[in-house]
Amino acid sequence: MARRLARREFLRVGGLAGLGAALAACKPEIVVETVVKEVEKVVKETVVVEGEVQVVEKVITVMPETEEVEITPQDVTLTVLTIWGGTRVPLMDDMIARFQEKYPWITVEHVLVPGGERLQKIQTGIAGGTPDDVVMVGQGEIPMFATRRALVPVDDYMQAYGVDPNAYYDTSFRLSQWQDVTYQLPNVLSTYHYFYNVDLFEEAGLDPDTPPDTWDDLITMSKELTTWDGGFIDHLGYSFYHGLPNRADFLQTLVSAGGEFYSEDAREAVFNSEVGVQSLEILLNAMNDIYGSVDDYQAWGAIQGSLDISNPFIAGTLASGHRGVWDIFFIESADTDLNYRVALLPRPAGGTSRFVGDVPGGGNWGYAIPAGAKSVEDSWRLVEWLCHEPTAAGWFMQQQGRPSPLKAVNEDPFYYEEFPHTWPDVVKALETYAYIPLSPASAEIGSVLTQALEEAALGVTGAKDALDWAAAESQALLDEAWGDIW
Amino acid sequence: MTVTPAATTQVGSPKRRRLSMSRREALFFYFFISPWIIGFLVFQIGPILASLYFSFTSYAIVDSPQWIGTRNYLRAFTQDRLFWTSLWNTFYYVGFGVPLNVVFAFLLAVLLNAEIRGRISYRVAYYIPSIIPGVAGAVLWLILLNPRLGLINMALGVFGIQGPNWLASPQWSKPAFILMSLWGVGGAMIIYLAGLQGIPVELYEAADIDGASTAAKFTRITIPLMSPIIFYNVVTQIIGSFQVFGSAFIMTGGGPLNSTRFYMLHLYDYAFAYFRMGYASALAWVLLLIIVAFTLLVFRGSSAWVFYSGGRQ
Repeated sequence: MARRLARREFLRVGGLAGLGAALAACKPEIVVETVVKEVEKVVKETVVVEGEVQVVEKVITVMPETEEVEITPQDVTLTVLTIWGGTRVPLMDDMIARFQEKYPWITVEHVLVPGGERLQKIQTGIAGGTPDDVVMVGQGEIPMFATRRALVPVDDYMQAYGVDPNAYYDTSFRLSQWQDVTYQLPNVLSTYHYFYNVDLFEEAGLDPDTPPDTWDDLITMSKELTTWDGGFIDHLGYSFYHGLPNRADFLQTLVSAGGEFYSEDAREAVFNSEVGVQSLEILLNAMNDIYGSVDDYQAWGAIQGSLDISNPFIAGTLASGHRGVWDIFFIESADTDLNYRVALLPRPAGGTSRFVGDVPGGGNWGYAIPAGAKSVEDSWRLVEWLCHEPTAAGWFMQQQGRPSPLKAVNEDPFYYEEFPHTWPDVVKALETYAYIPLSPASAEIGSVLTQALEEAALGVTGAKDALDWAAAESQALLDEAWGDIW
Repeated sequence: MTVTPAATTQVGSPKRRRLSMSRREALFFYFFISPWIIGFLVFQIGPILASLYFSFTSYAIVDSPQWIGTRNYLRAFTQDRLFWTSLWNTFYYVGFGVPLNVVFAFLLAVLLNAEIRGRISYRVAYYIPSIIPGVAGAVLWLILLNPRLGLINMALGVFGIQGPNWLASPQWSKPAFILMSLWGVGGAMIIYLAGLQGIPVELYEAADIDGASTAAKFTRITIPLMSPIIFYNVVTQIIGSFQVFGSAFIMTGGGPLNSTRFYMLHLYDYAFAYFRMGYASALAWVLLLIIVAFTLLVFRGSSAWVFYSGGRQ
C-alpha cells in the first residue's frame, strides 16, 4: 500500500529541496583560467653615462610560462575611470551590463570624471594605493606612467587570452607601447577631417562632391564661402582646429608635407626643419587669406570647442573646418538638420593628406591597469572587453559613428548604412594615420609648441623664429627626460 | 557679645578654585577652535610637511621621491620659462582684482543697507552668485563673454562700443577674469552688511545734530568703524586671489599667449600634466612665502588705517 505523504512531511521535503536548489545555485562557479605569473628579476645592463661605460642593475618584470588552473572566482567590484560622459553614459552602461552578464562574479562601477581631472585622479589613486582598477589613459601619457612602473604590462595577458596585435591598426597599437612593452589596449582611434556644410557650398556655387584637395584649393574655396557685412565677417569659410592655427593643424600639415616631428628614436626635436617652417607658413598664409586678419577673425569670434547652438558650424555661420571625428556623434545627437559631410584634410602641394592626434606622439585613448589594482586578472578581463571584444569595444565606437582601432569592426556594413555621408571618408582617413613616436616629454613639448604657434599666429614672432625657439626648448626637455630615465 | 566669624570657615574642606576671567576666556577659545586644530593636525599638517619635503625631491606622484636638494627652487627662478609670466599674471589679477572687489562689495553693501523696498530680494540676488559652483559660473561666463552672442558685448553694442573678444585676446583676457571675479562679491558683501548693521545709530544721530553731511558721515563714521572688516576682507581676498585657478583652468587653460596662466594653473600643470610633483611642491612653497609676505605687509600697514573701537589688542 502506498504511503501517503503527510502535509507536514511534504512541506519539510519541499523546503529541503528548495534550500538545496538555492545552495546549488549559489555554489561558486569553477572556471578554468589561464594564469599569468609575474616574476621580478634583476638584470645587469651596460650603459654609457656621460661617456663612461657603467654596469647598472635593473629590476624588470618577466612573465614566465602561463598555466591553466581551476579556480573559483571570488566576487569582486572593479571601478573603471573614464571621461565618457553625456551621450556616452548609456553606451558605457550597456557595455558594462553585458560584461557583468559574461563574468557574473565581477561588478563594475563606472567612475566618470571631467576630462581635466582624469590625470589627477589616476595619479593620486596610484600614489594612495587605491587606484581605480581600469583607467582611461591617453597614448601620449604612456611613457610618463611606464617609466615609473605605474601601469601593468599586458603583453602576456594578450598572449594568454589570444589578443592579436594585428587586429589593431599598426599606428594605433604602437602608440599603446613604450620600449616594446604594451601598457594599454587602444579603444579609440580618432580621425581628423575637413567638415563642410553642403548647403553653404551649394549657395556659394561650389560642388560639394569635390571638397578642397590642397591648401591652395582650400584658400580659394574658403574665400568664396566667406561673406562680409559692413566690414565684418558674416559667414566664415573655414576655421582651423581651435580658431587660430595650433598644434593639431601644424602636426597634420607637417606630416602631410613629409616632415618629421621627432627623430626616429624620439630623442631629438626636428620639427623646425625647412619642411616644418614651410608647413607653418602655409597655415599662417591661409589664416591671413581666409580670415583677412586675426582681428577680423576675433571680431567674428566663435567658441570652436563647444558643440551647442552657439557653435558656428552647427549654427550655419561657419562653412567648413578642421575637426575631429567625434563631432559626428555630437552633431548627430544634437537637434539639428545640418547638411554636412566630411573629407580628407587638405594637403600641401606635392604632399599627401595625413592625420595625427593633437599631441605630439599621441592623441588617442586606451584602457590600462594601474599598478596596485586589486585584481589584475579581472581588470584585464575588463580591458579586453572594452578594447578588444567587437560586440563591446567595437559596438561602442560604432554607435558614435567613430572608427574603432580594431580593423575588422570598421568593415561592418552598419557604418555605411547609418553614416553614409561621413563613413566612406572616415575609412579613407584611417589609411592615412601618421605615426609620431612617443616621447617622455610630450605634454611639456605640447605646451611649448602651443606657445610658439600662438606667437606666430598673433604676429609676435615669425614662423622660423617661433619653431626654432620651440625646438630648442623641446630639445632641452627631451634631454632632461631621457636623462632622468636612463 | 562677640560673634566669631571663624565658624563660617570649614577647616579641611576642599578649596574651590575659581578660574580667572582670562583663563576661562582662553579655555573657551581653545574649545571653540578645537575642531579646526584637530582637523589641521589630523588632515593638514602631514601633507604640508610632506610637500615641504617633496619640494626638495624629484617626484612624479606615481613613484618614489628622490632627494635633489634645492634644484627645484633654482629651476623656478632660472629655468622655468613661464614662472615669471605666471607670477606677473597673478600679481596683475591680485593688484587690480582685490581693490575692485573690496570697493565694489563695500559700496554694494552700503546700498543694500539703505532703507529701500525689496532690499532683501536684492541682497539675495547679489549673494546667490557667490554660492554657485565655480564650474557652472565659468561656463556661464564663457557664454556671457562670447564676443558675438554674449550679453556683455551686446550691452556694449547698445552704446556703440564693439566689445573685444575677451578670452581670445591677450590684452583683454585678464580684465575679463577680473570682471568675472566681481560677480562673486556676494560673500564679502554679506560680511560688510553685518558690519554696517553693527554701527551704533546714535553716532549718526549725533552727527545729524552736528549738521554733518552724508559724505562726512560716510567718511568719518562708516568707513572708520568698518575698517576692521575691510581689513579682514582685504587679507582674505589677497590670499584667495593669489590662488586663482578654477576659472582659468576651465575657461582658457592659460591662453591666449599664456596671458591667463595664473600661478596655481602653472603649478597644477607641473603637478599633474607633466608629472613633476616635486617641482610643483617647490612652486607651492614659493607662493606661500609670497602670500605670507603680502599678508604681513598689509598687517604692518593696518595700524595707519584700521580703527578698533575697543582699542588695538
